[in-house]
Amino acid sequence: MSKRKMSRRKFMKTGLVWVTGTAAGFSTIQSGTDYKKITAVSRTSLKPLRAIPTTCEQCPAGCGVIAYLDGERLVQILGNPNHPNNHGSICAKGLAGINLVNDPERLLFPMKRLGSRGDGQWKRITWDEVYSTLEKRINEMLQKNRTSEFVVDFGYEDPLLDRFTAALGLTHIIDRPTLKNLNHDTAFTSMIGSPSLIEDIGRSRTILNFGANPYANHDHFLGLAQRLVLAQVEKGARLVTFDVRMSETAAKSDTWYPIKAGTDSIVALAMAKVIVEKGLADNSFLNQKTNFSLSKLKDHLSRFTLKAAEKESNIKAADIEHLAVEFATLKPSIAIIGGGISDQKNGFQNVRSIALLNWLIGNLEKEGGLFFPRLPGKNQQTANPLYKLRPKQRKNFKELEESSTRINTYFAYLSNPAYSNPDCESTKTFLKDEKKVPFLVVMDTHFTETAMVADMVLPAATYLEGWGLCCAPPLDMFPILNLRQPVVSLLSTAEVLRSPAFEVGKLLEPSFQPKGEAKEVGNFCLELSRRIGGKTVKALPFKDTKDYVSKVFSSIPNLKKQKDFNNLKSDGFWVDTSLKKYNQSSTSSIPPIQAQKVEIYSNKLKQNNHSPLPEYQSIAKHEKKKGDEFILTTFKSNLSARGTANSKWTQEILHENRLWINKDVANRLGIKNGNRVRISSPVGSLTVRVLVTNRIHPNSVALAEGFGHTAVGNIAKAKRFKSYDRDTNLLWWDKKGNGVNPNEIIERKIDPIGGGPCLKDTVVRIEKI
Amino acid sequence: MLIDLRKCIGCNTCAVVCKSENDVPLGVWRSWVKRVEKGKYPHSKEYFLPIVCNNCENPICVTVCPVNASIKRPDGIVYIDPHRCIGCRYCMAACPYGVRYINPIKKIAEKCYWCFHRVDAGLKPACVLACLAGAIMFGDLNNPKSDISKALAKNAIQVIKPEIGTEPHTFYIGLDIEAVEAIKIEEEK
Amino acid sequence: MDTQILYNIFHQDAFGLNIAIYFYLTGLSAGSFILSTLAYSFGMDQYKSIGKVGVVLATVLLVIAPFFLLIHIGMPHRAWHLFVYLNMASPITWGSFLLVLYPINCIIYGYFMFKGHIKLTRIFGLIGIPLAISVHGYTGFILAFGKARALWNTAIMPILFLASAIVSGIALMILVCIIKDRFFSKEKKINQELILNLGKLLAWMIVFDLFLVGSDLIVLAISHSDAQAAAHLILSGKFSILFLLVENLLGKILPFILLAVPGFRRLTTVIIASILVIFGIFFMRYIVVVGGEFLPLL
Ligand SMILES: Nc1nc2c(c(=O)[nH]1)N[C@H]1C(S)=C(S)[C@@H](COP(=O)(O)OP(=O)(O)OC[C@H]3O[C@@H](n4cnc5c(=O)[nH]c(N)nc54)[C@H](O)[C@@H]3O)O[C@H]1N2
Ligand SMILES: Nc1nc2c(c(=O)[nH]1)N[C@H]1C(S)=C(S)[C@@H](COP(=O)(O)OP(=O)(O)OC[C@H]3O[C@@H](n4cnc5c(=O)[nH]c(N)nc54)[C@H](O)[C@@H]3O)O[C@H]1N2
Ligand code: SF4
Ligand code: SF4
Ligand code: SF4
Ligand code: SF4
Ligand code: SF4
Ligand SMILES: [Mo]
Repeated sequence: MSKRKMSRRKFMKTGLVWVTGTAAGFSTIQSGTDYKKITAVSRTSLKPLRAIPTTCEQCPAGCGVIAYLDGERLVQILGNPNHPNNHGSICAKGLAGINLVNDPERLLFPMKRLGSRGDGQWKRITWDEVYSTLEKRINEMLQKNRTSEFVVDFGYEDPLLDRFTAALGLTHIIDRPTLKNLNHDTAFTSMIGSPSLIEDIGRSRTILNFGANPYANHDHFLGLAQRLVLAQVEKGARLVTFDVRMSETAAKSDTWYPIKAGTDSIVALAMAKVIVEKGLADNSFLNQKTNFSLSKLKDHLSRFTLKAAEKESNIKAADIEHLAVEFATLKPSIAIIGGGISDQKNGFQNVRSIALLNWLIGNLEKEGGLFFPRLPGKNQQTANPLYKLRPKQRKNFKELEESSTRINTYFAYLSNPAYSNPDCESTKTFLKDEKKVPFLVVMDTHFTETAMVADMVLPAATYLEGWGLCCAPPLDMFPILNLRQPVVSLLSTAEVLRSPAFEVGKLLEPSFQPKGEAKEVGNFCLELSRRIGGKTVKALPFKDTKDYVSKVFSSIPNLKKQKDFNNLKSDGFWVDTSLKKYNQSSTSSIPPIQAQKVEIYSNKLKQNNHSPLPEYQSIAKHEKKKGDEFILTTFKSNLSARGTANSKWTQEILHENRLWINKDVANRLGIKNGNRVRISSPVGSLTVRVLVTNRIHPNSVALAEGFGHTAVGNIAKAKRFKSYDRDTNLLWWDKKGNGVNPNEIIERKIDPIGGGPCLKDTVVRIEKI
Repeated sequence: MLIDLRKCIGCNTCAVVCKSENDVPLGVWRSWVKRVEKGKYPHSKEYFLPIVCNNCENPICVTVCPVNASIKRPDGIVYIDPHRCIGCRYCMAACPYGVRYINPIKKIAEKCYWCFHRVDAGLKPACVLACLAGAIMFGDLNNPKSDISKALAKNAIQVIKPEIGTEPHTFYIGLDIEAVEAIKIEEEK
Repeated sequence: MDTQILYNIFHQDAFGLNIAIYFYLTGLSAGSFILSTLAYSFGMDQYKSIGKVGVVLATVLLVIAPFFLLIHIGMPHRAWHLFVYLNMASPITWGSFLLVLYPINCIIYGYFMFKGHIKLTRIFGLIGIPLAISVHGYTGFILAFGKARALWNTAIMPILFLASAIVSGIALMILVCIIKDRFFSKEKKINQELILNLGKLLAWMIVFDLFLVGSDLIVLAISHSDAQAAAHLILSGKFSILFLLVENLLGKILPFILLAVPGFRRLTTVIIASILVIFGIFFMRYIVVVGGEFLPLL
């Protein structure tokens, strides 16, 4: 594995670590004058609204958006028409940012627990008390040289939080988003030294999709979906999807192959065999750019016959063969990979097997294929000391819980492990146990399930209320730097409540309300470091988040040449056109493997007694599965994301997750659409309504994740209530409820090689009730 | 308006952006995306069908409105004068597409009016701009050079319920008749 | 084909119970008025005694009815818009004027009737007939303009409404006459012959009404798919019990038998039949209005 191991969120967020290849002047995107105009008008006064460009952070796709304000009130978020990734579009989750900011149930003040944990009694405290409590605890740990007892669990990376923890010399980081993708990231790192690649899907002609759902959710969601639609409809690309259920992407695919869960890699390997045996592989790429020769590959693949693949996966041999030929001949082709195959017990090898398909046709830095992500700013690592972070140790929750690690303080920022972790009930029990977790601090926008068992809850700013710089996925191979700037100001209550303007404002506009004492996590870290003093202050030499952002800005030479900070503020992003877009003729300048080759064969795996080559490993518990047992897959709906749990507009459309079950199976079991069933796994059971459907493999059942909240807010819980927002009184799905949280029955297992969680392979039993 | 269903991925962005653009309360919709499943496993399919007001050439809603609160503008957009509407719901009863509702807060009839406040300002309707797949096209049908006229000329197009005689102006490419006709008895609220 | 809806929105009801009641009351009013003119305008003297009852009922019912409209509309304080911003294409606009002219005419007509001014009574009675027909007929048009609602969108709707209006009007008249004679007249004696006569009339009107309902159904059942769905809804679907059992069996066929079979013809049977008819027609209004919009359009 490469030493330069880096999480994919990392490159998008604090990013900029990566040295990109040599640059040649190649500029097509212009800035300034011919930009599309940015306007929206007030529906009532017909006057243009105030527009502030910023970046959406509801998911990792990093779209450029424009927030529109009527007076001080955020009324609309639309896509930034100039942003190279999303071209003015936005998605439903991005729109729901308005709900997040204006939510009447937001957490506005720091709170301290009264009574015992989980009692739900709180007392408002001052930030001063927060700082002094934490300062005391941290200083104690520093003195005893035991900062490893400080656990930081975050759902979204923040550079200042990163620097803060690095300065303390922490060892316990729970980097939630990357943990989920760990199998994917480690598999790619093991082959190409980079945890992820960019799919140039807009120029592909044949697209094989293994377990991804880019039409509903993806790390590069909106921009990728947009390009895929154009490829399909306007350029006639062929999209084929392997999924256990008919995802949105499968619905829009030319063909959907309902595959038996966990068997994707044998299909991929059988395809690879066909390609190799028919002489359709890109020989020169394999010889020059990979570390494994064609003839040896042939030997390895000989086991993966079409017949074996058909038997395992339920996909017809003839189909596999024909798809393999198409893939290798109707180029450009691409095989894309989603959580459906990486979040399994055999996820690591699944990812490697499907990646192999790409290597077989030489699909690296090739039009319509896979590209290394480009990052803005040349030679960042040397030029910008701001980005030198200490390496940190990632731990997943399972390890943390099972190890005898002592914990002094657990800090969860924008993360809700008591809800999102597999087997979340045991996470909750763990966090609630004062012996194991003596002090739990949660910083969030809402009273989450995790906050409910905390000792202290801190009100966090939303992404629309603070400063940030992050790299967007360079979907067109141009590096993009996104600016996030506050569109709504965080007002301190005391200040606002005393002002006559507020009283007047309240009369005129009922939703005009103070945002309380919410804080950006960056500013929180800065203040805390100032109080702690010593090396932490030195590591964070910034006045505030804005100061940090402008310092980073000035440390990027290319950027400073092209724009001043005000330009950046009015554009909202910057495209580094000094870097080469892509190089069709040669692959010589591929950054991370300049000296290396694609490692189809991994010595490191060999040393650790794992199969060094892409391999199919069947999942043992699936093999033992009995007739009334099913493989439970979880998936993300296109409407839920981290900030939407309490969003009225998305919850209104989707507030219940029914259990998908194959129609023939349901008939056999006597289950009718809408019936309630009990679904149980070794860790728990749930009752849920079923959706009897023709769109799922008979071996599988599926539940969307993101439902069944027991905290966060009334909207998330599907309860009608009165507030200044009259809509909350109109909540009409209160009788139907809010669904179930699948994590209550998902086993906490990991893929022993990749280390990532298994979210899609729990075996469950179903009984009619 | 032209909705290219080949491109529509059922993401609901159009439905949500309309809520924010037009302050549409919970429980009512100016636009929504119907989803229909068809066929037997494994030869099944899911269809997405975004629905908005058709801003009809012969809008029956305008014919029946007793106070002329529903008005067809010269450019063809059918809108409701919020100061004149008495909330009698006749237009709702008459519209063959069920796209009108009574605003539970304002108690007057509302529907999609192609965001004419934006169109008048030279902007695209909110859902047209937001649609991430570029599936919704908006423009001037009287101008044969407009993108929408060209697209209408080049593709096989459909409208919902052509037999009704309202002459809908919301056109579709790739409309599935069964997805249109599938109706479900409403569940209790 | 295996088809199922995975997502669709709830549609609000456009009309609903209030409108059904409104239609019911205007129907009763129109029916009563028409009966009252039998004697005064058409010289059927055997009906003379119901003339006054009829006009009082017609007026009172028509004063009550619009209140249900006001409850129904979202912006009742804007009701005056109806008289200012006219849209002559809209049946509701027709209705606004009818709802003003008709009660006024009723009052004048009644005034002369009570004054004993035969000629003027006759004239205003004759003027009133088209008004009464319109005031109820227009409600039929309201529904018939609902283009996509198969249960409504039929030319038979105004006539159907009128027929049922007369049916319910006669039934109501029978009951009111009995009550009036029994409790409020000097002799406290019921005019049995009149009641039996009215009973006969009622029986024939029921036959006419059934004929119209039957014609409507037959055409619905063989017409386009939406119409078939509507026929299905009232014949075997959610509204079938109300339609078959309550509206037609209890509300029309049973009363018809009670009224038409000579052996049954007695005062009590006429009373029972009238009560049944009054309920039956209420459910007819309910089924047409609520059932008509029960099937979502999209
Ligand atoms: N709307 C929305 N978008 C998001 C997010 C969100 O919360 N909401 N989150 C973002 C984040 S943090 C992430 S990590 C990404 C996640 O993106 P993904 O991990 O790709 O998404 P999932 O929906 O978890 O899983 C993808 C598909 O795998 C299928 N699947 C399950 N088991 C199998 C199998 O054995 N074989 C095959 N072939 N398919 C299988 C599921 O049916 C599902 O359709 O999305 C990002 N985008
Ligand atoms: N069964 C199953 N479980 C899963 C998955 C699965 O596919 N199946 N997916 C996994 C994946 S991919 C992931 S990434 C994790 C996600 O798990 P978590 O990281 O726990 O994600 P969320 O609960 O979506 O969001 C965390 C919190 O962020 C808060 N928040 C939202 N916006 C803002 C903001 O702007 N500022 C601040 N300060 N806070 C904000 C929200 O209130 C929420 O409480 O879940 C994992 N869990
Ligand atoms: S795709 Fe992700 S980043 Fe883009 S608008 Fe949607 S939620 Fe925001
Ligand atoms: S779709 Fe309905 S509301 Fe819209 S113009 Fe046509 S008839 Fe009127
Ligand atoms: S509800 Fe309003 S717009 Fe509709 S018909 Fe009545 S007055 Fe006209
Ligand atoms: S055009 Fe405007 S009003 Fe109509 S659906 Fe789209 S956003 Fe809503
Ligand atoms: S926004 Fe576009 S792609 Fe999404 S549902 Fe609406 S029409 Fe379809
Ligand atoms: Mo994730």
